This record gives sequence, C-alpha cells and structure tokens, in this order.
Amino acid sequence: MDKITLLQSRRAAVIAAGSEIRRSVAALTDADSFVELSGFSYSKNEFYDAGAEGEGVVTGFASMDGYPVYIVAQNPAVLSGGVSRANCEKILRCLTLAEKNSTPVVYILGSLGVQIGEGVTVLEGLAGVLSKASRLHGVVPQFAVVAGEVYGQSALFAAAADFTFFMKEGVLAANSPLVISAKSGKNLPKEKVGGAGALGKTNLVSFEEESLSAVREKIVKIFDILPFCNAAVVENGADLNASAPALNENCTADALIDAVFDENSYVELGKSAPEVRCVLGRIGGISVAAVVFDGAELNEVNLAKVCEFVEFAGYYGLPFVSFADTLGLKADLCTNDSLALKAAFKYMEKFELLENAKISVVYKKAVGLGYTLFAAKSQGFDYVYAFANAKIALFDDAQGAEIEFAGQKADSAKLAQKYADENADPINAAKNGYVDNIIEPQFVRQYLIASLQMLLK
Amino acid sequence: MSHMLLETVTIIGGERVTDLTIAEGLIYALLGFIVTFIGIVVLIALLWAVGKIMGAVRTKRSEKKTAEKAETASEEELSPEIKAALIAAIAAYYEGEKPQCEFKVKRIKRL
Repeated sequence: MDKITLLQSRRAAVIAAGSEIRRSVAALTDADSFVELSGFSYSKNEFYDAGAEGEGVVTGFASMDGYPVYIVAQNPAVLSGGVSRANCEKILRCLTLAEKNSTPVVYILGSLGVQIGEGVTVLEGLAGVLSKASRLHGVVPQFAVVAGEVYGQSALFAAAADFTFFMKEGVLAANSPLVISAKSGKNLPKEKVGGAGALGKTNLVSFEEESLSAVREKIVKIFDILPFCNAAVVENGADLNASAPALNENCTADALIDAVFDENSYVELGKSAPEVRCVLGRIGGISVAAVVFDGAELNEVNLAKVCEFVEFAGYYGLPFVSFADTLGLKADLCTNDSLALKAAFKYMEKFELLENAKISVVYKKAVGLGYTLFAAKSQGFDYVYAFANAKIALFDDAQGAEIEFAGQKADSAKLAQKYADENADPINAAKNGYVDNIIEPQFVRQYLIASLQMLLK
Repeated sequence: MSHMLLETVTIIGGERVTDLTIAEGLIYALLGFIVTFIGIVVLIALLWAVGKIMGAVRTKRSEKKTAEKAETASEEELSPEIKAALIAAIAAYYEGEKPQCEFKVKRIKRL
C-alpha cells in the first residue's frame, strides 16, 4: 500500500511539473486519450543541482478524432524546456515506436536551448533524435507546433516536420533572438527575428493559428485527406459533374480553388511565396496535391516551396495537379545569384519520382521555364489541359513583342497583343500534341475528376 | 358553221330521234355548271356559318372557364409544393439550354 502511495505522490510531482504542457496535449488530442511514455524518465541535472521531474519533455501516444498519433511535447516549465541527453533518449524511444507502428508524430515545441552543463553529451543526444526524425521524414507525417519560444537545435524539429503550425506567441530561431539581433547590428524584438511574419522566406511556416483547437482541427483535416490515414477515394457526397460557369467570366486563383476542390475538403499550406499556393485536398473525393500558381515569376523561394510539396506528394502517393499561371525565372541579379536554378532542378528530380497521376491545367499562362516545369508534356505530365483563354508561349507578350517586332514603330501594348494573338494561343501547342485538350474553364472539375479516376494508382 | 346549229335527226330502230343541237348542249352544260357552283357556294356558306357559330360558342365557354380559374387563383394562393414544381420545371427547361460538358463523370471501378 505504501508503494502505491509513493507511486501516487511521485506521479503527482511529475504531473505538477508538466501541468501546463499536459493541458496543451489535451487540447490537441481526443479527451482522455493521452497515454504517457517514459513517465519517470529524468536525470539528475548536475549543472543546476536539481532533479528535473519529467525532464523538459512529455512523450506518449493519443488519438485525434480517432486517428492515432505519437506526441512529443517540450515542457518549458522544466528548466525552460532545456534539452538534455535523457530528454533526447525519451524522444528517441517515442519516435522509434512511431516508426515501428507507422504512426504520425506531433511535436509541441518550446525550448530555449540545451542544458549546457551536459556539454557535448547533449549534442550526441540531439544528433540521435534529429537523425531519427529525418528517417521518419516521408515515412510518417510529422507535425510541429511552435507553441512558444523555440531556440537552437530544437528548431530543426520544425524543419523536419511536414507541417509546421505557428501559434501567436510562437518564435523560432536557430540562435537566441538576442544574439541574432546583436550580430545583425539591430535591436529587434524576438517576434521580428523568429515570429511567423519574420520567416517569410524559410518555408517553415505552414499555418498560423490562434488556438490549439484550430491546430487540432487542421491536423484532423489533413488526416482525412491523406491516403496514408484515409482512403485515396472517398464518397463525400461531392457532385462529380458540378460546373462553375463563373470561371468562364473571371478565373482567379481563389475562384479556381473554390470551384475545383470539394467543399470543406482542402487546406492551403505555406505562408511563404503567396504567389505559389500549395493545396492539399480532395477533388471528387480523390486525394490530390495541387500547386496553384497565381501570376508567379519563379525564384528560389517559390521553387523551393513547390519542390518540398512535390516531394511530400511523392512520399505519400498523392496525385499531383499543377494549375499554371507562371512565367519563367525572375530576370534580376538577386534571382540569378541564388539557388533558383538548383531549386528548379531539384523540383524536376522530385517530380520524376512521383508515381501517381500528374496533370497540368494551364488556366492563365505558361511561359518559358514556367511552361517547361509545370505544363510541358515532355516533363512527364500524363494530361495537359489548357483553358480556351489561356496563353502558352516561349516569351511573355511584352518580351515576345520586343523580340519579334523589333524596330516596328507602334504602340507597345498593341504589339504585345499582336504577339499574343499570333503566338500564345494554346491551339498551337494542342496541334503539336503538347496539350491534350482545350477546355471551357467551367468544366475543369469534370475533366480533372475523369482524368484522376483513370490515372489513379 | 351554220349547219352546226341545225337540228339533226337520227333513226334508231325505225324510230326518229331528234338530236340536241350544239347550242342546246352548251346551254345545258352552262346550266349544270351554274347549279353545281351555286351548290358549292351554299355548302361553303353553310360550313362557314357553322364554324362561326361553333367558334363563338367555344370562345364563350373558354371565357367562362378562364374567368372561373382566375377567380379560383385569386381566391387561393399556390401551395409551396406547386410553386416548387413550377420553379423546378422552369429550371429544368432552362437547364437544357445551358452548355453542357461533353461527358458525364461517373464513378469507375478500380481494376
């Protein structure tokens, strides 16, 4: 009986040390579903001369709307979430189980760095756990919630994750924001260094959310969409033959997404490069990864975003649809002296590895490299559709007119129009077999569903 | 020409039969035509008159019916079901006029 009482008091101490983080876990998971792992695993911390109950991390498994998940929650209440060797071993055990059971992982991040008293030992621990996270990449979906301040190597969990959620108070930085700020010769608040708004080019911010219940809702929606967790085709009551006459009049990226995807069955991810919109959703009940270009000029940031998304589609066997409204690489020094070309090639590599359906819809324009990468039949697209009013050309109108009609004295806008009329009509590409069909915008959904059904693996 | 107007006589079986002159023939023919045309005109007039009468009767009846219907409609509002049916019928009619996709998507069986 004494042992039972002792157990209860020990457990109470552990729970008290992590009451805040346990509330976060509870908000994310189904009620009373969380089962803790390594509940008594913690080390005596010589540097602080104190035992840290629960270490800086709580691990376990739970369910989210019935979907099983493993949870790794850094606990800022214990030693500021400081990472230790024991801490890493605890995470590693959890990730090993996730790998064994092919179960998604959710990280709730909040750590100011490592427990420096452990020296290099903690680096070994981090190396072990981060390499396990990298091995899980593409094997099971990983979600990271930047719930508070996340500094140092813990930030790499966000990089390893497929989806990263930033809470309002979330700050992510590879070093302390104070150090970064000082080294940059500026006096910036931490939000300006590592807040979601400050990380616009990193591809690290998938979603910004106000509450953990909103995070939970989105994760469940992703589970519903992913063939990894749910069926590749579901009967969700969507009308397979719904047309969208409004698209014939005005086809914006928003209107297109709204018309093509099943109602309330898609999520858009990635806060960086808003001109390239990565959408995960269902079209006629079929899971799809789609990239909707919104008048994009290509650069290293938006190409990296597409590349990562295509890689994800490949890992989880998703059909890929490109909605093209894109020019080639941006013609400036900054883009020229960047990783843009490398990113373009990386995308081609990832695209080649896609085994499921690959469909391109040129809904506005596909010009130059934009056509080569995201609409060219020879790139490997199974079907290529073009809207009747779309443009497919080697050059953009203005640039093409400058080259084609050099020396002609006429209004540049008229010359550009002349170039478009003569060269950019998709019928030219269709006559050569590069476009399978030129369609009315309002019927795009029907064409996509019919094609996806036939190509689905 | 004058001999054509003369009366001719034919002896058939010992009996003397007086033939009609051409003039008499023409007169009889003319009389025949006139009688026939008068008959036709009378028949046309009769039919026209009957048509008119019937039309008048029909118009009267339909006016009566319309008046009765209008009274009923103004007295009783159309039920929601009838309204819905009417709207559906009109929508279906105009649906037929909208451009349709060349094919209908149906769920296929995976092989």
